[in-house]
Amino acid sequence: MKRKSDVLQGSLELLVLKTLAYRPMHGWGITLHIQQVSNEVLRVEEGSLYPALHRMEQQGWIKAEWKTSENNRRARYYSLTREGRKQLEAQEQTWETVTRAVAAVLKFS
Amino acid sequence: MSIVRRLVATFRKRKLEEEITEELRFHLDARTQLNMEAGQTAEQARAAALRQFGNPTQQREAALQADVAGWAESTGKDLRFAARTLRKNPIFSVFALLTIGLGIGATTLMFSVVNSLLLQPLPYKDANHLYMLWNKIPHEERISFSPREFLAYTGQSQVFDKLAAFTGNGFVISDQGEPQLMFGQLVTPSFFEILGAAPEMGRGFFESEGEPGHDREIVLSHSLWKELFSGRKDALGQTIMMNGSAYTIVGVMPGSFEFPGPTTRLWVPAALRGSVFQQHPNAHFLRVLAHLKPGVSVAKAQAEVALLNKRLDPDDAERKFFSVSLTEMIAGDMRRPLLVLLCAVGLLLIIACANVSNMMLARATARQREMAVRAALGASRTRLIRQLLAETTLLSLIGGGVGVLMAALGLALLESAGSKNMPELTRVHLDFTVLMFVIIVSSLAGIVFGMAPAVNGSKADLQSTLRQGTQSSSNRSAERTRSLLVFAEIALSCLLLVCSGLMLRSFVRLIRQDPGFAPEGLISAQAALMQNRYPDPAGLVRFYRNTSERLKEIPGVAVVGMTAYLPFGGNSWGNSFEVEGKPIREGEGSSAQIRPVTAGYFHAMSIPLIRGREFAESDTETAPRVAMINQVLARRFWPNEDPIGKRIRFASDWLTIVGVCGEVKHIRLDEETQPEIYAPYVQVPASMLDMGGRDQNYVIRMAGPSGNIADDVRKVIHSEDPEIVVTLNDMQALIDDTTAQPRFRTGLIAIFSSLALLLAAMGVYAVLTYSVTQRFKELGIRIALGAQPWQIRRLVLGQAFRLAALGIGSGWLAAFLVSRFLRSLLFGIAVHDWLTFTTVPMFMLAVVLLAGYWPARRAASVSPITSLRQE
Repeated sequence: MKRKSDVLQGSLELLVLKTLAYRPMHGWGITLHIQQVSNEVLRVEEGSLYPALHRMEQQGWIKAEWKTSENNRRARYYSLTREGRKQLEAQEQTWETVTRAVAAVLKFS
Repeated sequence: MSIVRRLVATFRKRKLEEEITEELRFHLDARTQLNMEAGQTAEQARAAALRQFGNPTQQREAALQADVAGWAESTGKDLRFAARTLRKNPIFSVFALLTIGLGIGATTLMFSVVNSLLLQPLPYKDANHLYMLWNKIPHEERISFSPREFLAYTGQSQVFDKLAAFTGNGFVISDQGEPQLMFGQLVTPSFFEILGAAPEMGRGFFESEGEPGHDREIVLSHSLWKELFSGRKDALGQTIMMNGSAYTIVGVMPGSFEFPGPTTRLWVPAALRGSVFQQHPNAHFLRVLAHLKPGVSVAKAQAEVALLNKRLDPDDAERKFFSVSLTEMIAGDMRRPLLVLLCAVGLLLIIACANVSNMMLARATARQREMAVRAALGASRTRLIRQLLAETTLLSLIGGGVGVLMAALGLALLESAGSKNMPELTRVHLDFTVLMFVIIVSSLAGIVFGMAPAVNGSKADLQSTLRQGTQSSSNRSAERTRSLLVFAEIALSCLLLVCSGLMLRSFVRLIRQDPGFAPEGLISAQAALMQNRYPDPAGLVRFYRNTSERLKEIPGVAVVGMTAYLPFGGNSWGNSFEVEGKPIREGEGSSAQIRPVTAGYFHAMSIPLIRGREFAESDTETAPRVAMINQVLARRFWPNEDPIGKRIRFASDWLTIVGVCGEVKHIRLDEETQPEIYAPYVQVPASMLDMGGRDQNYVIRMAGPSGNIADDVRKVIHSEDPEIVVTLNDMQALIDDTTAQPRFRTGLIAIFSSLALLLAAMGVYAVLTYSVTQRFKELGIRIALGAQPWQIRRLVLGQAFRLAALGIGSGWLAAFLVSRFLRSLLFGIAVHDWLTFTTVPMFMLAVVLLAGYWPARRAASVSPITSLRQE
């Protein structure tokens, strides 16, 4: 099922949090943002985005509200909570630690 | 509860589903749009978008799952965590639960009483169309109808479509084992129909059974049916002997039907045109029940009733007719006391909430580090408040459960203690309405006592809390809140205490009220002499003479007297009268209580003789007719004269007044004594004795202790006639029965206010103890600098005093303003009774200072060294 360009499992939360730290947006916006910023390398698996968003909302990391979108439709905008900000810091650190570790293993010859 | 939660969840779920669907549609539409901009056709674009997105239904389900699971999980987590916290602090939890349970229990108890007695409609069909009709004359408030009046009115009313009359009577059942006296009602045939009461077996009465000669049918109450026939179906059609006649059983009423009261065991037709009623066409002894025609206004009905006087008694200008709704008749007297008690428990509940709130605030302060750490780890403020609210919700729900148990227990106690004199208590039960009430009240209570601690506790200020040592601002605001709560507790309990003080004082006044005779050591024995066995009134006199002679011979008996109408015995006989040479003026009242008594009655009862002489054995049937009057009558007609020698009459003969006696209370201790005319039993005209002299109440004054007076008295009476049913009573007990209601409400409010005071004292103690702990360092410095223990004590007690002065002052003022609502419940004291209004505040001050004494002593014993080292 999993395609190459899909966001690595576990990193979806981090990417969403980071995206929302930039500015509040709706699910579609998050998909576009990640795709564009990663130069089309990373593609959010659209099917798993919404369950993830709702799960994160329940955990209190993000909160949602209905607003009018650019094209004048009602859309659900997500933004980061205080708790979410802390979560983002923590996950970023974890990510860096892990990638540095992976890089170290790969560079070892 | 689970139903409610499921409802909420269902509702929530539907809303969520809609939102998620909309959210996903937005995404799909946006993608489709993008694809179209890339040059695809609308259909292709849509298909591509769907392909990329996957199954929308599946996604929607997954998102929904995440939401519901998250919500349920965090709620569950909150509750589990709350339960764990409560278990970890068993002393706190038990105290909090008991306090809430107490508040909710008392409130539930009173609410279930109010609900059953005031809110639930009466168990009769169309109950709010039922009225009772009465008349009144000056000095007598509620008089029944006479047979003549009732018969003249039946069928003539424009506003009532049905009228029924009924009157209580004793029935001696003689063919079912030992003869026994049963209280029953003579009712006109439409009685059951008006009340909409169907028998559980058989039938009610036919219209024809209200005619003389056809009235030997009987309808049994459920309880009598069980008692006599053990619930056998073949009871219908059988006959029982009552008062010498055979009655055929035609019906059995269900157990829930007990009109007009629970003492009613049977109903028989009243043949108003028969001889029994027509012998006394003008005696007022019929109670009248009326059913309002549909569509007729109450005002119109009242107008017709008010004009009855002109139609029924054109010669009697003083008589006024009026109607009272049945609901008002049954609940009217109870409403005020019950509402006062409900308010009292409401206050108690608020105090209990304040107390728990206080305890939680203290604990929240202690838990500040925990909160600060959790906040530092990323818990949002809402999250923390939610957590704390979960704790209070759990507390209040368990507290509600404890409360229901306490209420059930209290109800059982109430019934066992009070239902003998207050049979309406048996109607009280915990039902669905009460349960809903408990749920609402405990949730509200949880929010009330949980809000302050939650808001305060969640204001965890990381910096200052973790640094400790300095008092954080949330600490100080918590302390202010706590002082405010204690102030409220003191004020409310002062209010309650003043009210219960007033009721207590008035109750003491009531039971100390002189009934006009000496009830101690006085025994009454009632013998009901039925017409079938004593058709001739001369037989009544003979029975009396034989019996009283032999009663006097019982060892231990000092004096024996007899009266047809015993004070506090439940019966009375009002009659019109005339004074020779003095036409009665308007408003003076032409009715007096007639008391046929015997020589020795005044002596036995210890009723003081004011003037003249008492009746003597020489006042026989053949002697000149004499009477005695009470002081009320003497004052009204001969304010400046000696009534002795004047003549008065209530029947055809003029009676010479030979004596004036003291006032005797006849129905209640707090009543105004009625004018009374005493006549020698043996001189009362036969026709009147026939109706009004069939109850012979022997009053027996004991000289000393006796073996078994009850058996001796029964033996004497049964040796005269073995079929007479004898009822023995202690006179003091009869009086006590009439004070049952005030005793009940005074007892309850006293209990409630004592609990309130206890809670307030605990609150003061807790706040001061806590504040002493907080000021340990300061106190240590003061002591180190040479402050004496008494100065420290004064410091703490001063704080207690300030709380007390403010609280008591406010409570006192509130009591001063609201005590007038108690007016109708008070007897013999003013609503601003100075004694209560001075002693209660002083008493409360003493209690508060006492509660502050231990914290003060603790403060004075602070060792400067330890206190300074502690930081």
